[in-house]
Amino acid sequence: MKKNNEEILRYLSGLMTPDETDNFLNKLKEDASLKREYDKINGILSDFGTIRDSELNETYFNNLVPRVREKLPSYRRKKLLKEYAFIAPAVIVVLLVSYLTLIDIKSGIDSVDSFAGEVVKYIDDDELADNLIKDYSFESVISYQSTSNDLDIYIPENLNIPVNNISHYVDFTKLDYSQIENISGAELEKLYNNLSSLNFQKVSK
Amino acid sequence: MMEKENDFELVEKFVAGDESAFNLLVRKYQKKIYWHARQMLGNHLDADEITQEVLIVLYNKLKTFNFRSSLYTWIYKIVTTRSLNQIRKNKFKKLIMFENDEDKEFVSKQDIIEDIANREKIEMVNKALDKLPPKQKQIFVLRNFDQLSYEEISKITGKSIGGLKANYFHALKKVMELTNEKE
Repeated sequence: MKKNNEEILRYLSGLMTPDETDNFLNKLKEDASLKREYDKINGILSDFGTIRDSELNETYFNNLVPRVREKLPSYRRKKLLKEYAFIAPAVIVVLLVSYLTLIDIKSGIDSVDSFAGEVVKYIDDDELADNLIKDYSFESVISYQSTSNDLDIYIPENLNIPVNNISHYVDFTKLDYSQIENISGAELEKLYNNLSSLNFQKVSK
Repeated sequence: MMEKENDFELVEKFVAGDESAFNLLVRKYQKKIYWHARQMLGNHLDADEITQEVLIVLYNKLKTFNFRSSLYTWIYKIVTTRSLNQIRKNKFKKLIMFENDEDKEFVSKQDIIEDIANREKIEMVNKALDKLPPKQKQIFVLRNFDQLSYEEISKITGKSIGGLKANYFHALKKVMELTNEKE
């Protein structure tokens, strides 16, 4: 771009200071080549301005209002949907969390039930086993479980059996009780005695 | 001033429930809206979409319009913002979709400009404007096609007059370079 042009564009953009503007206008009167360039650029710009005088198809503008009015109801529906759209992710998250929590509680209940059933299964005395189930319903323990996923926090402490011992025989993650029969008679008896003397109400608190 | 009073009257009437006042407002501004969108977007289909959108917004928001600015400033604000958004959308579309010659032909065939000579001129200008960054294009269109002053453009865009002048200078420089290249 020529230096002249740059000056013209600065003038047309209004970037010149009042002094610079005066100088430029004086120069424009004296310098023929600058005047030619200025007229050329001005011509192109005014040509752009005439584009708006182009003849347009009036039918388009005559039909514009009816077309817009036709679209108004669907626009309102869309707008309403947009306004409430932000709630959707929150609802999905709440539903998902609720669903996962319920699943978690259910699996917790299942694991406690199965564990209790398996312990009782290896007690030879049927009457004692029945009494144990009747008297010490696991419901209280289950309600405790609903707030925690960790079996060890309530069973071992009250049964006075080290955590490692139970974990050794029972794989809680897979609910595999196949090794529970390896508990020795003495250990089983101790387990039974502890269970029967256990105050489950205290545990549930 | 007279124009402002007239707009005020029409808006008042519309808010009071006179639907014909809206029709009169549309008649008054539809071509300005269309041309601004047309120069910003470069084709009739997009300009038509934006024009309709702006009129729908106008219909729904006129009740809340408080005349802190003039109606035409407010309308220009809506149409220029929506046109800029449409440019972004179109760029994104181009990125993810392949546009073939048939699509281009379809778009160029849909036009409401009657005189062929001017249509060619407009196409040429559009090609040059397409090379400008959207914000420079916006200033250039508002200044050259809509013939607005920097003060008015500043109210519409929220930019400082100094910044607008600098942007216009760069736009002008680029357009002149492109025009000279073609000659």
